[in-house]
Amino acid sequence: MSSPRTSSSPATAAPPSGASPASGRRRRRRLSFDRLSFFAVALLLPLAVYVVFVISPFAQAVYFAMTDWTGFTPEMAFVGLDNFTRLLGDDKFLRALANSVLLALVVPAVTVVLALAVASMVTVGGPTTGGVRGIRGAGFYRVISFFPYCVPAIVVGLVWAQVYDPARGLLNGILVGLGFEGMADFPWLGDPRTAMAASMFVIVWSFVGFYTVLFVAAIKGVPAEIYEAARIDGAGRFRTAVSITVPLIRDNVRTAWIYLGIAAIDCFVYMQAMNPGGGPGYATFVISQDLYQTAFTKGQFGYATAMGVVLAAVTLLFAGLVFLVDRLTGGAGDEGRRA
Amino acid sequence: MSTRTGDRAHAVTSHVLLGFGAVLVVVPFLWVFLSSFKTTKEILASPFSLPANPGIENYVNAWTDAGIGKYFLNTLVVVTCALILVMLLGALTAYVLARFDFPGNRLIYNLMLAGLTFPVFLAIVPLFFVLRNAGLLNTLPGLIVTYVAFAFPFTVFFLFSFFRSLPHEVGEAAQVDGAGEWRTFFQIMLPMARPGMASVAIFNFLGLWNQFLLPVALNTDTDNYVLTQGMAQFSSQAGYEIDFGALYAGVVMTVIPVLVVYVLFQRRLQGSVAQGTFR
Amino acid sequence: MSTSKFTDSRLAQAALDRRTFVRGAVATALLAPLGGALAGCAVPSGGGGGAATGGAVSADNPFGLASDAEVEAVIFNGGYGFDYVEFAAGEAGKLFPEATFEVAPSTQIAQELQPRFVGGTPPDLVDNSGAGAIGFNTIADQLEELDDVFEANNYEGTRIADTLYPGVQDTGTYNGRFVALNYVMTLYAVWYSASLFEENGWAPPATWQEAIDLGAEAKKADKKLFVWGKEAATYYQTMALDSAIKSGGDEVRLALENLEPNAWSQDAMQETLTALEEIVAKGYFVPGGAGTQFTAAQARWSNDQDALLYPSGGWIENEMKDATAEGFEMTGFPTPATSDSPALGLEAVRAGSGEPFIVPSQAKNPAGGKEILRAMLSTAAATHFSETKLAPTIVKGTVPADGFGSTALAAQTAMLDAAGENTFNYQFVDYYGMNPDQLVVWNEFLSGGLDAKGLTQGLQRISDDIAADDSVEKIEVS
Repeated sequence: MSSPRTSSSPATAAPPSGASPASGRRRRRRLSFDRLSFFAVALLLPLAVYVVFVISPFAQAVYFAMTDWTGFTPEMAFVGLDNFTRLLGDDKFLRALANSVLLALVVPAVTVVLALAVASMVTVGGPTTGGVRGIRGAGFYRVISFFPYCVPAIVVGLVWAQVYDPARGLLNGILVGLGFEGMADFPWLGDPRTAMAASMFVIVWSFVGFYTVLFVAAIKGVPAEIYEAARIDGAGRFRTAVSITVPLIRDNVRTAWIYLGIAAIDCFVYMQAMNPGGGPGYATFVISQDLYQTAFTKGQFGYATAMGVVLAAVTLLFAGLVFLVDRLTGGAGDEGRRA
Repeated sequence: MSTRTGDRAHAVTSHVLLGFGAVLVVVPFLWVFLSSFKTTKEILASPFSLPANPGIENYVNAWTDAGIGKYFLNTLVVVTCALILVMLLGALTAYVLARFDFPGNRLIYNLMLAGLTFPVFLAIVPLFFVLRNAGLLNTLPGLIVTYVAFAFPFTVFFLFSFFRSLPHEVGEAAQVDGAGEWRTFFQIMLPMARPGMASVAIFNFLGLWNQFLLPVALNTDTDNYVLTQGMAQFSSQAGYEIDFGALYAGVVMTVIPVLVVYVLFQRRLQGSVAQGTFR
Repeated sequence: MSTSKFTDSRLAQAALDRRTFVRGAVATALLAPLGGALAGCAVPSGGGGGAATGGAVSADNPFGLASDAEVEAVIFNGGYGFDYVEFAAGEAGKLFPEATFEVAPSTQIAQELQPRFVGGTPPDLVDNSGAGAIGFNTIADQLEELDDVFEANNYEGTRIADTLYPGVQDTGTYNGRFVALNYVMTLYAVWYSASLFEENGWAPPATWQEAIDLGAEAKKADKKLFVWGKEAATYYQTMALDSAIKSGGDEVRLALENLEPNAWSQDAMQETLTALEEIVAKGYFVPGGAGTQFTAAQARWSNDQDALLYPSGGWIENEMKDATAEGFEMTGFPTPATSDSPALGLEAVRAGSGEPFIVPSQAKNPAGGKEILRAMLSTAAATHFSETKLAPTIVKGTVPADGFGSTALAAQTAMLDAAGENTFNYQFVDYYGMNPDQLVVWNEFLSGGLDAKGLTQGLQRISDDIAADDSVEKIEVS
């Protein structure tokens, strides 16, 4: 699934094809102090830290998922896969699972499309005469768009919860000011029809700028001649974006998609800040919130941990799917592992 | 339609769209900034009213009640130390994984991928015991080590592709010159990976700066709170005391420093961030 | 009875499970080869924490606190803040000048303290309150019994038990052990602005019919009857429960507390919910509550006066003090009943002690936790609390008739006096941690998305699910 691949994208200049496993082996030499100490510090030390502080806690968590631990006593009984079978019949959890899957489908797609659009406009969307460049004021838009990413998620959630407030929030204030009297008191986060969309908007809002900057940098790595050639062929801006930009920065798009997916599947902090109870009729309830409630309010830590294991599985599955789709649609050739 | 008019129409459309986006981004910021000068009653009265007596009272309240100053310093210490460590260790590991072939290489790589997808929640309670037994619980060094460990897989991933793409002749030339592993890495490889390092560092800086779940469970001593914890506590506290004005002031004080850092360094960021991808 | 049998079997089970767990820990260690040392640390050390060497027990030192003890308290930092515990700790510090008393605030009790409970190093005193409180069914067995606090003398030399309102011990007793001392006396009522009512010639409603009529009056004045916020939608559940219990009598309460099937379908409950349904349907609620933060919603009642009434506990005045209109004169009246001759009388109110303070058995210094409690229950500290927080404590006679100038506090004292023996309380919602699930259905109901029947089904289902869940320890209430 994760087999590393070389990239054909100019943004990540591919090494000359000579870089092959042989080059690594050729370098094998006698063990010297220099070599030993280097490997100890470069590999063993960080790996030890990683295993102790990341892998081992997760391994223990997987065990807790198979117990009836309450989380507040040292005692627990091994119950095998009972917690997982119970999850299958837990409507609330299934609702949360569905919401998380929905987020994983929508948030990355919308964010990537918006970020690509903005990135294209500020890099190659400028006048068709003269050199290929972005529209005027591109720098300004680029800098502004990144702002939300500088704000901690908890603060983003807090601020938008206030913006969405039915009576004194900014949004309804503006809408009423524009003459939409019917929107006075409309609970954006409290109506099952709008709660999820409103929450998704906030998540997208906070991520778009970051990926815009990422894509801008990638597009700048594309030789201008390619765009000039497209222009001479008469390709419009939209076609240029779809058939030139996207294929050329494909690796970046895939990376973005995966990170956005991981963030969207979790999104605990955003949801907890905007709708701690899970929203109207659990419209915005996600797995991480279910996990949190089950573990800390209900004192069913074993069961909650089982939810976490499912959450991890969903995330892995998502990453796998993105790789698969990428490959099926003809992503950068997979040449297997080098070195 | 001539190219010129087409261009103009397009430019207008682009500016309208981008301008709308910019407004969407900026207006909430301005609104929070404006509200931070209003009293709670003024905030409750109308979302748009201007503050009657703009003063810094809210800021004083937020500064003293929320302890923004101390939390800011804690955050700075933790994030700086963690960032330096994780960049150094991450670069070393990424380099070894990318440039050397040894048994278990693949396994380690996959272990990193797995670590990226685990929800932090799962690890918190076991992690608590790991830290407690190491005597690091509720200490800033404990938080630093944890931050390093959790930012590690991402860093390795990102830099892995970087080191992979460096021409192997470079390393060989160094060896012919008789340079040892340490020298090869620090004098040749690391400088070549600088653009990648810069972008990962910015990624990590923001990620760690905004980290919330780890400190909440592992750093419960209020003296050691980091900024996000302070804000969360302050916001729930402000919710009970209905001090919305101070809440907004706290938000402004949390956000401004990061914005300033970003605006100062944004040129560097955009030139380098594209180089790392999942591979 | 079935409950106690269940409890015994669970204890036996737990003893057996220790062994299973050790095996699990070994397996864990194998999973993490580099963490060999972890095998030891992975096992949350069970049992024996409280090994602090004590001082000699005497009348002045009833719990045997060591003179140089280090005492740690973690206090829920909510509507009452935590400075009142600091005040009490200061009082205790005068008696034990060499001891240190550290009082730390927390807004997420369960999340912060859970690992410490498992690890056997909980603080000496915890105020287990707030939305993030630890469910009592998970920790009741790990807490010190507090009977000796009641038997001790307060700092003024009177036996503490003699200074308190009745019923305090019942509220804090789980499975026959008195483990939680609820410090604040909370009265649940419906609150309004006496000045606004007087201006308009309105009277507080005693029955739901009168409430509906008042709603029509409010409409004429371009106001609503009620307002709600998303995190506090279940304040209306509290009001409905109080009304049903008061109207139908104690059997209504028992059926609900014991999670009986169809408990929510009892007549008194249904009459109440139907009345609320009518109030919702007539548009007497400020719309949009499901999307409004609760304090912002409360401000629409106390500051903007868009709504006439708000059901809440007595903490409401303190909570809203920065967002209350000038001359509001906050006053309360007992929850409306379904008829003018309810089973428990029109004056009946729900009154119970809240803010449960617990002393974990494994704490380093349980005696220190109890010493702070003794200080809190002394007249000086209790009076200080009422005066600064405008709420009564469980200590009698610390609130003067003028309520320290607070109309709400005076109203609480008056309602308590009028109710006499006709007070009641219930705990099943908190005990089983039902609130998060109930919030969702109540928000839907108050938004008009569910009728009384749908609400009943939703609430009954939450109750039935817990009743059917073997992993949840039940408490038999009689």
